[in-house]
Amino acid sequence: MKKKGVVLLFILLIVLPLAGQNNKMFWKGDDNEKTAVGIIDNMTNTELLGQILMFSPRNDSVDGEFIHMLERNGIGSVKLYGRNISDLEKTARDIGRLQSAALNTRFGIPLFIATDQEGGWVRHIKHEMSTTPGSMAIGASSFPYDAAMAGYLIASELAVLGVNMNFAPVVDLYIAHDAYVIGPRSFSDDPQAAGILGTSFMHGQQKVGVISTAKHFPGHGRAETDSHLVLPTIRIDYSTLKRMDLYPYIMMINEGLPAIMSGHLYYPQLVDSIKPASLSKRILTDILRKDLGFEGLIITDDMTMVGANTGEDSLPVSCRKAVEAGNDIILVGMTYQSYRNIIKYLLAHMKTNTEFRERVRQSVKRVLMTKLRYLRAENAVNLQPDPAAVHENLEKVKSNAGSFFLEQACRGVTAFEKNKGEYNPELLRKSSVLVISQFDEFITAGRERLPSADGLLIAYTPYHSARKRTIERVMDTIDGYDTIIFHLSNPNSAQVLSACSEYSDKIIVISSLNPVHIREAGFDFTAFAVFGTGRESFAAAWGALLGDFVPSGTLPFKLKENEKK
Amino acid sequence: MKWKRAKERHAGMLLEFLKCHEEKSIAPISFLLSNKNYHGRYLAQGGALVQMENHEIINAVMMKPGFICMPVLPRKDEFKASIEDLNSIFLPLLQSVFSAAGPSSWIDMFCKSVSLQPQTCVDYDYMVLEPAVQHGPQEASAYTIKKACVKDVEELMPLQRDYELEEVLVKPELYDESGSRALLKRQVREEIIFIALDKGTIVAKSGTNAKSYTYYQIGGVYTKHENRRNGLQQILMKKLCQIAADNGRSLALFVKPENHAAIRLYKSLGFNKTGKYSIYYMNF
Repeated sequence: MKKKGVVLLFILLIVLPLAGQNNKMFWKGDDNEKTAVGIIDNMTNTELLGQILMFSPRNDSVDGEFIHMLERNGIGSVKLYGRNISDLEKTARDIGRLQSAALNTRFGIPLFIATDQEGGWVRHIKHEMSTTPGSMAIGASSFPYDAAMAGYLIASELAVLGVNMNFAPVVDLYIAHDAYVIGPRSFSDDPQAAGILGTSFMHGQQKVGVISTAKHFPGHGRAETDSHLVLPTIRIDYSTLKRMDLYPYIMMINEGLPAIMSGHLYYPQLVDSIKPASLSKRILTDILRKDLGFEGLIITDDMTMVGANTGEDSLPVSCRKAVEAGNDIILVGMTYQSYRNIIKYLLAHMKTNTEFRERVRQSVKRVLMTKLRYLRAENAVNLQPDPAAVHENLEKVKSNAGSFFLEQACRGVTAFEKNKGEYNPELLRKSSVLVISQFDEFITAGRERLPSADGLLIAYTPYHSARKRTIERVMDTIDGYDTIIFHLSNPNSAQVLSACSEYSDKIIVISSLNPVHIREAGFDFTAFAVFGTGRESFAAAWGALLGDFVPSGTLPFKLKENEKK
Repeated sequence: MKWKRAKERHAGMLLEFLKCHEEKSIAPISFLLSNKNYHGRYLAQGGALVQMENHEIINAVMMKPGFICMPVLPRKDEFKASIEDLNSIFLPLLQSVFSAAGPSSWIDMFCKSVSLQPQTCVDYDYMVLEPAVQHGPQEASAYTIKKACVKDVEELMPLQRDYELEEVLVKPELYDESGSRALLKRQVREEIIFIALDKGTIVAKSGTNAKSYTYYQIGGVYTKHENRRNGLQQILMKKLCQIAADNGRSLALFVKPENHAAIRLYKSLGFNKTGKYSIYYMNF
């Protein structure tokens, strides 16, 4: 009897909140506009403000303090960084707890749970999540199908965990080749290609209810520096910007793009004082809203990045300016103390400044409209993902993907200009081969195909330069071999490769991540780019090396032979 | 885990790390953010030491010109300098270190690990007001309150000297008038310093000496002896509270535990003691 009572209580505990959920305002009525307005008219300042804030938990788990803060302030969105993830089952459980807390608030408004899962180089959630070939590999094959499928599969994996918003696709045009921070995250330097591929990626994500966020508006691909570290300056006039960098956005807006991330990038020709685009009313309101007609969400890049903190302003003041500029969601990943300060400060401002309060209300309307449209949809991402089924469900996604990522990686393999059509795979089978790589997996993949090959693993770090002893070790080893497969993946290995330039006729380079690094070693090598660092990309590289197929990708940006760093 | 000198490219990583421990590293953050055009050069010259794990900084020691070192050791249990680290990285740098400042447990751990022998230790209570609250309208006062500007520096110098001699310096012969003037000039330009004037003469000062994302650190609080017990600092501090509220910042300060009058004032304004702070002095 006692046991039965416990079971009954348990069932009630689970069912009651769920039953309650449907009675709350967010879940009632078919007319999204009416529901949103109804909620907003009843909201307190705290509830309004909460919907435009996106915070991230402190550690690798969601603690009670974070949930408490979320409930008390009606915070509307949560960002998960790599540091917040220790294992995927736990992540699914944490997301369920966060959503329960949100559903228990007055209107039952669920959360946006966001992360950066661009595919390829940048993926904040690792573990069993796929390492895909990445945007530049898609740009190299330039099939919209590849972009759509990549978006679909990446989003399907996110949906298993309960993540319903992805800060992808990156539609920055890779124009300044020193923009290492963008590099292989970009589809192309061509506005039309980036627009078509970005749109396809978005539709793929949309299929499984994941909200796409195109970034970094107006465009990070011309920045020679990284907005994490400084405020990059981009000297370009509006008509060029509109014809080039904004083109992918214009295309995607026409196709129903739900969100755009504003970047911490400074455009002296467009704004009248030194401030990032993310804090510029001219760029966000006059250009993005009025000129481009975007009615979706504008989300800031993380407000703690150096690019957003260049002046005297405190973080709360910068957040206020971000709202005034036209952002709808303010992203901050810092301490709980900082979140409290931001809330307190912005609330005080709402109280005394009716114009500001009106600005917040406008944003809340956009937030609610997007939540109603996506989180109540038939294909909405589950608010209560089943932690126990995470591994099984991820396996399901991967088995549905079949050999897609391998095929995509193969379609993306690109021969550099020099050796187009000249490469003879038979060479490899007849000679003694040494494989040099910063990735153990690359050597292993090679030896599966070519068991007689020897491997030499070199360090990936330091990122920007190679240690002297690494170069010496490589130089000592390569003499004894007929052919060297050199895997180039960062400036460190580029430096090693350039030390080997006298052996260029027996070296074949496979480039992962940013192909631009080859310019540091010169263009005398036979070389192929695969862009990715996942299993499929490495398999594709070896397939190309051994003549399984003839590489047909095209480098999606103009790398000039004489280009020097 | 090995220690290394942070390079220019670590600046972002370093701020990423420090911002997660903001309350305890206001001065190091202030230094990096306010010098952001120069932090590359600062780091290139080995201004910070870092301990890394999986491409993330887990502990750091910031060196400030003037040879003050500020350890930030949230993972102090893993702060162990190997003999090799000591010889190659710490010793050459620490030979010239004049003082180490920070939360007591970090400083203690740091000095033990790198075998720094402090000659004097000064303890402080760490107090914060979070978040800063708005106080009512200013009550009428016989004093004039205003923000200090560069032309006030000369008149402020005697107060600054007495402040340093009474509150900061462990030995009077360490007072350096020109250094002190330069510092005050910089602070008047970059920080917020309020002064109280009695019939046109400056009698009290109070201001910030560092700022981070959501904090002001308060320092240089001093009232001339003959003007004490008049509630002057309360008026100045309320001004600072107001400025903090206007900026969405919290306030943090250090106070010697035996300074009962000051602690009473801070408590009355809503400050809470959140920890202990220490400055260890070496090599003088």
